[in-house]
Amino acid sequence: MEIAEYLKKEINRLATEVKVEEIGEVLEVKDGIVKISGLRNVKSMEVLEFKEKILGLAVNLERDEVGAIVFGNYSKLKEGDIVKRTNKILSVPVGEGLIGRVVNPLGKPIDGKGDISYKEFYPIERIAPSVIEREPVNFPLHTGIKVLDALIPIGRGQRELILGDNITDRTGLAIDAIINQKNEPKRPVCIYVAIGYKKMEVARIIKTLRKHKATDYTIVVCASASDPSSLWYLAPYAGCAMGEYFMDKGKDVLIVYDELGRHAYAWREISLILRRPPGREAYPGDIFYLHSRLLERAGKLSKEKGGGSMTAFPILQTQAGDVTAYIPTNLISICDGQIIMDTELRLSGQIPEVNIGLSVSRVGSNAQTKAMKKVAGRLKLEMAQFQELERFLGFAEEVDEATRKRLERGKRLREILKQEKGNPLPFEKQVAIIFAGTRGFLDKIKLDQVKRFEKDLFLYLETQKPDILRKIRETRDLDKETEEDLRKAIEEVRRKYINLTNSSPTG
Amino acid sequence: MRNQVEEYVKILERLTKEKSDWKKTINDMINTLRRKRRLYLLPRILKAYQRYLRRKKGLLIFAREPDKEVLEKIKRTFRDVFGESQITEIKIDKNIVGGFIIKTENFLIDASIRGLLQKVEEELTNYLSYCN
Repeated sequence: MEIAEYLKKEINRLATEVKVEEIGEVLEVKDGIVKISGLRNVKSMEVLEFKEKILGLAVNLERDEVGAIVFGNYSKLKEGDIVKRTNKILSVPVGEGLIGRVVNPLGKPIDGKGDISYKEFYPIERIAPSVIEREPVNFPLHTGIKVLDALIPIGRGQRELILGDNITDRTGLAIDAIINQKNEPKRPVCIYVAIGYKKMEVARIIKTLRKHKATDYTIVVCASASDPSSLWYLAPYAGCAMGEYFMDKGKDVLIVYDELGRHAYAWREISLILRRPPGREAYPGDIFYLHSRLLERAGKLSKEKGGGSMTAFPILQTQAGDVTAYIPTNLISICDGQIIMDTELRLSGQIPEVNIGLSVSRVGSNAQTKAMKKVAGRLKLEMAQFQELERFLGFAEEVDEATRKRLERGKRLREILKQEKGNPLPFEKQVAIIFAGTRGFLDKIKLDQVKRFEKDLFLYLETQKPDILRKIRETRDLDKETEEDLRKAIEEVRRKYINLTNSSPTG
Repeated sequence: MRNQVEEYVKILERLTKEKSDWKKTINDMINTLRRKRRLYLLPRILKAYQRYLRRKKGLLIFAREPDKEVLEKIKRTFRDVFGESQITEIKIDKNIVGGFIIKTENFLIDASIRGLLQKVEEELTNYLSYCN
């Protein structure tokens, strides 16, 4: 009865309501790009509707024609088809309902778990927060990866580029950072944007996230390899819009764009078909703006704007380690630092294969905790000196005592910076082991026993001295008293490994 | 170059309005283009002229033969609203069930019964999915 009433009412309303719709006509269809005549008043980035509810986006407004990208199955379109204006700027649904779901760049769920109820929509393209609306990065984002948290610290609101060759595990690093957020006190909402990946690979990543229960706070936006380039182009902007919703609510967000090289390929393809003038490496003139306007939307908002933040991890694949190519240099200049992953380090077994010398974090050190600053202050310098010495003395048989000691310590420091994939370490444990390394507690331990020592130390601290870890975690500092307790605990574990006589560690 | 093409399109426009001996005039235009070594402009001129025709074109679709009075009224209203375009073609399509459809390059007025039913279907689907 209720439906019948509704129908009657609707028919009455619609019968008297004849609208003038603004339309156009398809002139050409090529590889997901459509040329349309008509649509005289269409706006840039307006959503268009083709037949069978296929959606498109007006990107090129010319004198007599409109160039649009199609989001659906463009093979169904043909010359002469009618295209309607929708008067809507492209937006994606946003909200809490997205958390734990896998969606496409239009916000439609693709994980088979049913529809998502939305209340709000955010535009895909949005002007980044202004200077007044921002504040400096001042809170750390712990990745759980020792080499990053100690040497290349990242703050919430920072944009840190991860780049490396095909063989390096860039995605793994970002996924570990997402997994590590599980135990963080102010847990950020994580968004993983997969651009151009095979569905199998995305499924593997989702499985890893599920295994570590990281899907409880993660959204996956997927434009897979089989999707048209229009969706590849859209994916990072859609993910960013979803993140902005949480940022505006005062929450922290961690977003991973994996990877922006493919995003650039997609925009190049679209631009070439749209006959935009090609520039260097056939990329269009706005290739820099493509990424700068995306990454500029990340940042830390001021307290007046809610104090939310969006940390971005753009990922980029380099060719033969060339970080001076066109897209890498663009992204390096846009971001607040870069993590360079080295093929040679990976092949030599140094995992994660982060090149400490070339990697940099320009703003994160302000956000590093006092505890980490205290223990890792000398680490970068010592590691840099060690790497220099190691290269220099590669063929030398005999070295003086001081140099030998420095080499031995460097080797042990390198050993503690190694970390298995999918095993992020809480910040307080990182402090403990780096403290042991930089204060020379490992100098007398055999190199092949360093990893075992690390495990034993953590076990000892967890079971016998949990207060030390708790204090570091809560105060984020290493006060004199805790430092003394930690020193004693390390000594206790060390006793098992070496026969202590008169050797006391040098600090 | 665009200006040159537009000049030639304007000539073609004037010819169609004046209904003069257009075959002769087109031949003259081609000869002029040949003499000025501008024959390469011909495809662009034709394309631009096609665009012009598309802009002017107006299609009126009825489910059955309309009354003359109704037709005149629709044409008059159409001229008032869309000054640039005019009804150039009238079609009979039983599939639209009743009412009429007007289609120009930039606008579509769907006052057909088929269009109404489609809208109802859409509204109903939305309503049902909302209820579920």
